[in-house]
Amino acid sequence: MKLDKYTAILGNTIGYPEMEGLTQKRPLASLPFDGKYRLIDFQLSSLVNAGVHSIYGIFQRKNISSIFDHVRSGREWGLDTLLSHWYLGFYNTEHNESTTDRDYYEQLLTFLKRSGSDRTIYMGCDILCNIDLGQVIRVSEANNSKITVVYKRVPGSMVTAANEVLTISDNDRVIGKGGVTSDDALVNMSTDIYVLDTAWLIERMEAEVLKEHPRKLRFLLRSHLEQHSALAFSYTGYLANIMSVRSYFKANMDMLEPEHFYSLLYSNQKVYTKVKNEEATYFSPECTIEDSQFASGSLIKGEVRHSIVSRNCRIETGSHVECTVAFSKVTIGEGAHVEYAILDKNVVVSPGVTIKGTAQNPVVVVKNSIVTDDIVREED
Amino acid sequence: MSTELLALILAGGQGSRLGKLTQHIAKPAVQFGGRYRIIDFALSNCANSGIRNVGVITQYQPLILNEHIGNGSSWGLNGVDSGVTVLQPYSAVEGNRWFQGTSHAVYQNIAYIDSIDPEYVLILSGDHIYKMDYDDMLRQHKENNASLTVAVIDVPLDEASRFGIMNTDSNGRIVEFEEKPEHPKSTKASMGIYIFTWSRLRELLINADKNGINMLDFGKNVIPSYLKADERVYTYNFKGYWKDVGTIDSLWEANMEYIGEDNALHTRDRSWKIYSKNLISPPHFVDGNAQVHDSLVVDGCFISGTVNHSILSTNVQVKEGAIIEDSFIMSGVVIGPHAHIKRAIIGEGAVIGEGVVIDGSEETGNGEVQVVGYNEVVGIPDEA
Repeated sequence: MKLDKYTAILGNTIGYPEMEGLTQKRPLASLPFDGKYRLIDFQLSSLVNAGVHSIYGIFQRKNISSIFDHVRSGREWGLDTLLSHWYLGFYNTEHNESTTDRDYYEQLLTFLKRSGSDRTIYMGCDILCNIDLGQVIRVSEANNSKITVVYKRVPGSMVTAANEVLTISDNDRVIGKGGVTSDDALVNMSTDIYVLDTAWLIERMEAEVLKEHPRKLRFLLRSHLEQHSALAFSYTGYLANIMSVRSYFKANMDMLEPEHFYSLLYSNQKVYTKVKNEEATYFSPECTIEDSQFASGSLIKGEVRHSIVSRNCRIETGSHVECTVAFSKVTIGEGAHVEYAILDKNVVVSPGVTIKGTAQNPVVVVKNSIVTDDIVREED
Repeated sequence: MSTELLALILAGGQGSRLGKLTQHIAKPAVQFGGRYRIIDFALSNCANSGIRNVGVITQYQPLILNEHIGNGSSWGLNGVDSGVTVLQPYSAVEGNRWFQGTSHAVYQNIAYIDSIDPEYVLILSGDHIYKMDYDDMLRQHKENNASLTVAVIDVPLDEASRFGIMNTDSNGRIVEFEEKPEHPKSTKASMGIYIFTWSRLRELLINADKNGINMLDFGKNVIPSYLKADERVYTYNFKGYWKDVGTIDSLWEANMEYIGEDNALHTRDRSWKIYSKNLISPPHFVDGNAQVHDSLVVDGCFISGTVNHSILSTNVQVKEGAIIEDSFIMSGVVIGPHAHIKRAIIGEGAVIGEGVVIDGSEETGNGEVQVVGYNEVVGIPDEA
């Protein structure tokens, strides 16, 4: 197989202002998930599992250090080998803008033209899934499709303003854009994952770059779906929108349902992440645990229920942690009470302090903060 | 810049005292502490001591060991000026090169050592659990202008007769070496860790081979011959936790001692981390039926049963109603519903069937640590 038959573009310049507390210092792509992953791990793993070793990642300039810290040479995903091509592009754009500058397209065009690839995969990180891209590529090749889009049938309640709903014909073609009529009715939500004919994509991009305000790639591709009767591919595995604090929190809590956990993380496609050398997690004689997940390196002495605890956390004696996502190096002091919260890296909850959010509105405690006063949120 | 210190890890021992555990795997590749294989301690000590070149001498069942070590990247030993080389016995024109003893294994790899051209060689065992700064030992070797430095540890007098004992003068110079003495004169036990000035050792090994002198083993032949030749042989006093995990009992004991918020090795101390090849797995899941107390658990485990004072390695499944006590469970093991494991070591990939009782305790079992071998299936009827 020609190694560069397939290339991929990771679009990571999109984000959501409402998630500012979690994404102020990092792109959505490096937001931690389920105790030991980052969202970008799922994209990179899907790509390398499909044999794609030529990848261009688009990021915002202000996120350089966060990305380099996690992805580095791409070694964990096997992207540091002689025959891999792994590029990172950083652009001066804000995540809530839909347009970009010319530089963005010029660099992408250089990458695509040089790659000599037949097909290009585009995906973003605000949709969390573990997709077998090899299957999508095969279907797109068999149909000789210029543009193939992946969608999932979801209840209307799951769709946000940032998602696109597709109308799909009986022969799997996109024939229009739809909307949501009720919370329960199933709709075809686009995952914004595309498999494209590279030569066709280059032509579209060359036309776009001539505009005064070229659109970001995602929006350019969306605009071509109907006109070119894009082929639609139905994804049936686990999927979550990561477009708000609430949806992000819910996706983490989903992992405590074995059905979702196994669907996302124990499919026949492994999810790779940055290697950390940590000790085992120690559970003390006095701890109480129920329905929770733990990464390595932590000390657990308190009560933990229905929560996710990342690497190197300390949960002290007499503390109570429930329905909470603790990022790495979080300390929860003696007798503290934490419920419905997302505690970012290095957060310290002082002894005896209460943090209480709600399922709809979890409390986000930003990175490196030391919480000494109670934070209690009432039900809406 | 030439290499000052080359480390050679002797990882070729059969480890027959570990019984079933080493039937399909070399002793240094046996798992330990949930996330490690025994050799990780020696390799991590090398990396943390700033050693850039490591040769791992293997022989017996080397497949898993080779796979584990790979190019050394797990220990950061894959840089432009560093490397791990796995040294296998091979046949040559002058006959078979099966290793016949510790120093013989070094002699057989003289071509490799010459290619690195070190000033000193550090000889290590692949089956000890400890943390040690070899750079400090080298500093002392140079200060003493020694030809050989032997690392020693103080052992209780009543245990000294199980070890090779070094009797020294007031300067730490070794004047006598007694292998397993009946009436030990000192409590300085050799740890099997040596620094040799390479040019001298090289000469000795070549001459011995040329003249048909038996120089196969460091303890039995080389050290006595150094003493006889009045070479400068010194001890290096090591203080800290050190355990030879060559037997089932000592392996079980060392694992049990490892459990806790802290342990004698202080492995949570991030300034001297122990590195290993990571098996990539999701976080571990403790469900609503589980009870986990005073135990170490790593990634990929799924616990529905009860775990007390035990270690669960990567990807262990503990089914509902199962009870695990005072045991070391290696990776990929499945403990069936209502099985009861007490005072046991369960080998990689073993499957324990529903309701099976494996009891090595003094109270209810036969008092011997129970062992289930690699990929062994216990208590599940054949499908035929």
